Amino acid sequence: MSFVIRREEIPHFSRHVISKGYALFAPVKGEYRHVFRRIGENQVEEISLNYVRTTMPPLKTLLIPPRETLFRIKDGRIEETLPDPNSRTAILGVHPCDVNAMNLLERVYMDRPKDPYFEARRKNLLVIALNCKNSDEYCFCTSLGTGPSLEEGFDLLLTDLGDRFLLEVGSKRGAELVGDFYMPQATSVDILEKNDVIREARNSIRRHVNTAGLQRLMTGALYNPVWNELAEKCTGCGACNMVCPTCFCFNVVDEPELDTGGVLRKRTWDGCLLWEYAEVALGGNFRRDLSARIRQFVNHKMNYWLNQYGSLGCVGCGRCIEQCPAGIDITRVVARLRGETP
Amino acid sequence: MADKLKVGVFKFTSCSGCQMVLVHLEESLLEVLKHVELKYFRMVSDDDLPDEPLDAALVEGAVTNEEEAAMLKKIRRMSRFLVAAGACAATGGINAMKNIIPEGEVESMVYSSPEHIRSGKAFGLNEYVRVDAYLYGCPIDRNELVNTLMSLVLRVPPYIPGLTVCMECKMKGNECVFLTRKEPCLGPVTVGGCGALCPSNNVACEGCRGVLNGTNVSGLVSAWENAGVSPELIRLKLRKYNFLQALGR
Repeated sequence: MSFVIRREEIPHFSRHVISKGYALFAPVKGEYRHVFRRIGENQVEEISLNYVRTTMPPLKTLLIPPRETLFRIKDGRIEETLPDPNSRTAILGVHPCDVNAMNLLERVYMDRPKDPYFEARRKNLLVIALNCKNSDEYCFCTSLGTGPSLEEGFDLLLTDLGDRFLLEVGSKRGAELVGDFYMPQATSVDILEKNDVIREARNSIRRHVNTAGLQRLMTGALYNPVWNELAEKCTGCGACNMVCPTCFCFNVVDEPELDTGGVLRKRTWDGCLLWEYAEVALGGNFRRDLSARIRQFVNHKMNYWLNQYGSLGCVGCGRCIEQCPAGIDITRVVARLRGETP
Repeated sequence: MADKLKVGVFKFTSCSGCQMVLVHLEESLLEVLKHVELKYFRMVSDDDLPDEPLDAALVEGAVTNEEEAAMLKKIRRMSRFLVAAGACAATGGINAMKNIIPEGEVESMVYSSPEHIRSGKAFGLNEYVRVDAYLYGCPIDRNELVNTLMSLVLRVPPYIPGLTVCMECKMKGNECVFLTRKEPCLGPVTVGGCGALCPSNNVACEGCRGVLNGTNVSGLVSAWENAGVSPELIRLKLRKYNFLQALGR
């Protein structure tokens, strides 16, 4: 099922989504670049679907908030603070790499043991994805098969055809949402135009990572001097962990809550670039050197994920490259390990 | 409820701003005082230091002369748990700026008649005694102060997550002041916990919470140099909160 929606109708459509009881998140132009924001009924005109990348991964941020309270411990009892099972959230305008990253997070959080916090949010989330029309020098999704177009994992899927969008339906929930919103059916011309847009987007991508035999290569390179060289440059800041849409680690902390006399158990995003991450009792640490921590980050994405979850853990969004203060480039690291670049 | 936690609040070379955070806890202070007994706190009471052991000492300020060092050692002996509170106590803080200037010169820069000054190089507390826990920042963070005191009340080790300001900045969804404006930001190597307060207000991190263990200051400096930040600005940034120490300079 495919429809066509005129560009100027996107605000109207967004209002329709909100009217169905969804809390809507969508990209808007920020001071510096696009950011995902909660969109109120009166803000639908601000939605802007012409962007390449946001600094933060929108779906990870929605599904695993950077800081969240898990439960309160008070008078010997545990009061869980699960997300409201009846709430509905919709996200509009997420690109294929980010949707694919969410599909990877599902393997982590919704396999045994299931994470009830993630699961509740994922079940309530409607994904209106947006195929890519443009790319920039950091994008390399084509190497990982995670873009620039999406085949599955969406409820609705938009493709920018200039004056109009092609809207494809990917789920029952998506079909319900558009059921009483009038749009003309797509024609074969629209589908052909979509293919042209995707082809152009694909051809515009200049950055690549060669994944052939990657696991064997990475495992064979665990003691390569490249890791030590990278450790000279790397600041150890963990920005890569934060902006990565598949980095899923968290830390758990207890905080006293003075006014109730209870304690809040919270979790916050964590990252393998940190010294503390691999620290154990009595001051032991499995990754004392920064070189070991960078090696872990790159290998987890490009090697260990395969055994852990059955696919690579990188979706080629380019955020870790773009946001690294030291200019470390994961695609170049792989190329260097292959001996393809100095 | 067990006996209240007996706490002493002490100050060496510093501005008293960290003690003020304790005073300014306001309504939380009343809750804290249900569990904590302040045995010595010169800022709010004239009572002398009692001759009895303390459960915890909260010590502000850098140590800059022998009298302070001797007093600190006495505090250490009488306290079960010693908390270095604030940048000065943790690393020497702002005071340590003078450590790289000849003593006579720095005295005459500040005082018109420096002959009465008895102040040498500024050091953090751990230069003289064992420190059990740190509260970072200039000044310290009120939530971290409360959490630390309440942890001690509950007899569990205080814990401040070892993440960077940079990570907190990303969690807040800020754009990077270094990548977008080439401003030398110390967030990548600075202990988080402040909620990336400065970058969230569009100001580069000054590093008041000190260097996070395991981060690479020299890597960050190279990144600044490659981005064209002037050597003079780099020197000033590193000197303000004693980051030169982390570079071994």
